Amino acid sequence: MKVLAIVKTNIDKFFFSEDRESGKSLAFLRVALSALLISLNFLLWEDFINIYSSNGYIQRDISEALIENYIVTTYQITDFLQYLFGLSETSALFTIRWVYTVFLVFLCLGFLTRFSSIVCWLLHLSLLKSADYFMYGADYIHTILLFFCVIFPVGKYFSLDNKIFGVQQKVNPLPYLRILQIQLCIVYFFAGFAKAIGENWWNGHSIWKSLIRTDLNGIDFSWLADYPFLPILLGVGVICIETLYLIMIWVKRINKLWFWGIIAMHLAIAFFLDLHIFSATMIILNFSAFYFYIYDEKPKQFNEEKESCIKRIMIKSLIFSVVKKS
Amino acid sequence: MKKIVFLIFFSLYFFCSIIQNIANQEKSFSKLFYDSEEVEIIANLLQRNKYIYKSFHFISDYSGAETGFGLYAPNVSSQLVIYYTIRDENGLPVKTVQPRFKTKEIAQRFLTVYDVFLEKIKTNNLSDENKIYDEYLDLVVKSMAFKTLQENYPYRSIDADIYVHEIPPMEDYRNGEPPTYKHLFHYEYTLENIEK
Repeated sequence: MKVLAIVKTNIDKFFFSEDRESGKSLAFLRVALSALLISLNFLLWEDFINIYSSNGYIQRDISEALIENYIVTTYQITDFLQYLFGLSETSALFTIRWVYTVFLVFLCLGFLTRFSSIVCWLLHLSLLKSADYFMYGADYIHTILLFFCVIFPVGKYFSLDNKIFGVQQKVNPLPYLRILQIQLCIVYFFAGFAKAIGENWWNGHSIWKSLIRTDLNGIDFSWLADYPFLPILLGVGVICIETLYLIMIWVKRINKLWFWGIIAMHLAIAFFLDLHIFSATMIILNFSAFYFYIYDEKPKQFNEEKESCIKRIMIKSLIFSVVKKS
Repeated sequence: MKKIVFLIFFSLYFFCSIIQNIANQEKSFSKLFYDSEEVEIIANLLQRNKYIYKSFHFISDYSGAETGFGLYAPNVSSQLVIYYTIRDENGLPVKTVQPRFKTKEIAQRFLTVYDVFLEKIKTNNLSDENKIYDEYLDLVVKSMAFKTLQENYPYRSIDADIYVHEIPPMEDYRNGEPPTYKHLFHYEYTLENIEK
């Protein structure tokens, strides 16, 4: 019973007790994620029809064959718009991408936040599943983050909703921040562990193979073959930094080092492997989950304790001086 | 009460995410060490009850818990490339092309499309399910060939060749072995047989 009580107290303390002063992390997640998705939307703008039309690179029948029936596809939305408004397929697709963009802007500004995040989440899912072959890891992580935006009170902080509808009831952002943090630890643990089970990340071959591909970055890395210790060092470094993230990010003395180490790794991925969207997504997730936690925010409880301690000292010294005078 | 609902909700979410990732790791593990995808204990356990299996996938798809985090793992896979050769009415090659992209982002995403053809490299003893998927992948190549042919109107004949970009280990590279493109598959289409 005692053990259960300790577990319960610790869970309560970890998730709920520390009342943070602001929701910067959640506001950052909302703004940065929607801004990234808006830019991604514009990056794919010109090829949108080639990806999503029924006569695109991968035709509708082929794409739909592997989609579960509980997912609403863009093809179905297109059909619906065509039926309802008599639009052509191109116009219907044009409508879908504009609606998606407008609601992403709403989400970014924090206008009708909950509703906007639901629309963005469902449309993103539809776009993702309808062109599954064109999607990679980052797009799936966007689904997670948009799902979090639906559940989390991301519109309670630094939002137009607050300006227009007045400051809403305060919510403790800590439980939601904890979910983000746990999510990130799971991401890196599995990413690191999966790399560690093969031998190619240990002997540097994976790093060598990634960097030597000139189709990605155009930079010639063939000189690395003369310094094999470098890819080995980088490969082992990646395994360590990812697998140990879930421990080191909580250790006060080295969490800053680990945080910036992982950011540097993502910047390198963006620069050398051209995976800009993936890197930006992971950097946003890291900043939302840990930057403000490590650098900015002090627990309110801590401040209150400090404040009351100062007050007590002041009162005591006042009483002491009064007594002394008298 | 709110706290309990919150904890149960996210425990369920993380449970789905972790199970999905363990299943992925198991798949990579059995592929790597046993050269087989049959040793899938977690996946088989989930499939035992179709309602649990469906619910699990429904929750995972909508919440994003389906996401596998083992990116570029356990190994960085070899890059596949498809080249299309347009032929004139006499069957003579006119030009070799790749799909046209307007941005670098979509070009990057096309590399992801090519990655699915790595599944085609499995050669012997394909299970019935894998045979169907293999045929499905042929349809994907055909669809892309059709689109490329449309972009190169009025030509009516096209070949698709899939290559794998093989990169030698550092030591072999130092000894003069260059990266090569190894030919894997060849397809021939005409506008008539594509439209069928």
